[in-house]
Amino acid sequence: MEAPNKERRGFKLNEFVTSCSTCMGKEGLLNDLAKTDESVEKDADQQKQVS
Amino acid sequence: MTNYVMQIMWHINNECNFTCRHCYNNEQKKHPVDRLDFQQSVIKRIADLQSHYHIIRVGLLGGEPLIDPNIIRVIELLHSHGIKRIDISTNGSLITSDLARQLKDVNVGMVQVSIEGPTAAINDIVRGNGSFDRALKGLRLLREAGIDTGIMTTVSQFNLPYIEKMVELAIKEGNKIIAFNRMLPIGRGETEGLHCLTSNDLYLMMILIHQLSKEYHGKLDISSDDPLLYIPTDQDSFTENNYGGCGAGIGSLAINYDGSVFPCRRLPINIGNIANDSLIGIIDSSRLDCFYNRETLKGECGMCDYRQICGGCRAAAYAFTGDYLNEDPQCWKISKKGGL
Repeated sequence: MEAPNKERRGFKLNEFVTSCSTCMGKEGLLNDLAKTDESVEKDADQQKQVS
Repeated sequence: MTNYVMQIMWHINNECNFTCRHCYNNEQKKHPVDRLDFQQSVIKRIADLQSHYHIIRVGLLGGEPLIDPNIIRVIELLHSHGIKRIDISTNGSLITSDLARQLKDVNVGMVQVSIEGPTAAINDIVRGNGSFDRALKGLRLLREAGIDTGIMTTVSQFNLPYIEKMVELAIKEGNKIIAFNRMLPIGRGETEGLHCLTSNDLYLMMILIHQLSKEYHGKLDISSDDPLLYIPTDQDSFTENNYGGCGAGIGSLAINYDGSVFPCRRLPINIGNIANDSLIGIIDSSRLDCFYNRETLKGECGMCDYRQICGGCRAAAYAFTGDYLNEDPQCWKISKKGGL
């Protein structure tokens, strides 16, 4: 259960949802957020394609 | 824009009308201070960070944020700088129907009110006489104005037995979420006679959250800000990710009312001040690498199979041991080896 760390600069959205960063609301609330805030994932996909 | 996300917890002021026995800030003042000029510079710094992180939300804390004379203006300015979601954490006592309407008008996301027990007799021992009734009244006014509400409970040995009753209260009152967070021995939490959870207590709290989440699924979002929530129990696992848990400096930064920046609102390690530097500058020049890289953790946390999905609470490690990379002494996996 190792995660890559060398280039890491923070949580990705799915990781954020399962972190203590969500101290003002958790699973349902942020899962909803993840569904509605697809721009983050699109950004990530686009970056992958560009690189 | 990177594909990394961040939330900002911003203590917009240092003034509060309450003196709660568990509060991690024991230096609060009572009278409101107008610091809009400085708050505008903070907002600019937060806005600039959007070039580097997707800001999930900004949580406004205090002090008591609703005592701040500029609370509405701060929310408006954050929105105008592109921040989509702004939440408030409050004691709820100052909410009027007029203020609730103003908060609705500026499109606040969620208002979370702190309540420490299911009755006034229990809650008011921690938060002061009359605070329970005022909090419930505030929550009702917010919902009448159409604002989503939640309850936040700081759990010590004193109120651990009331978790299920708190859930019932939250549902009865029509809240969207309830979050249970462990008290840490910092500020008045260290001196005012409440006792922190033992590791067995914390395990019980996590089991209860897992069980109650299932039982009330669809009715109430029951959760905790605790990274130990993601350690699999005999019954459940809350994550299928291979990284998560403690978000100190990773998914969250805290800005104090004076501009000092911390990895977490409960971890008072000053990593810079936005009066002198941008947030990305602070992130780049600070000691946050040790938070990203769980291989730097010490003791049992450093050897734990779940360090990548939990990482232990760095604020708890610091509060109990003075070293934020130490093992989390409230973890039940450590208690078997002689922890709290």
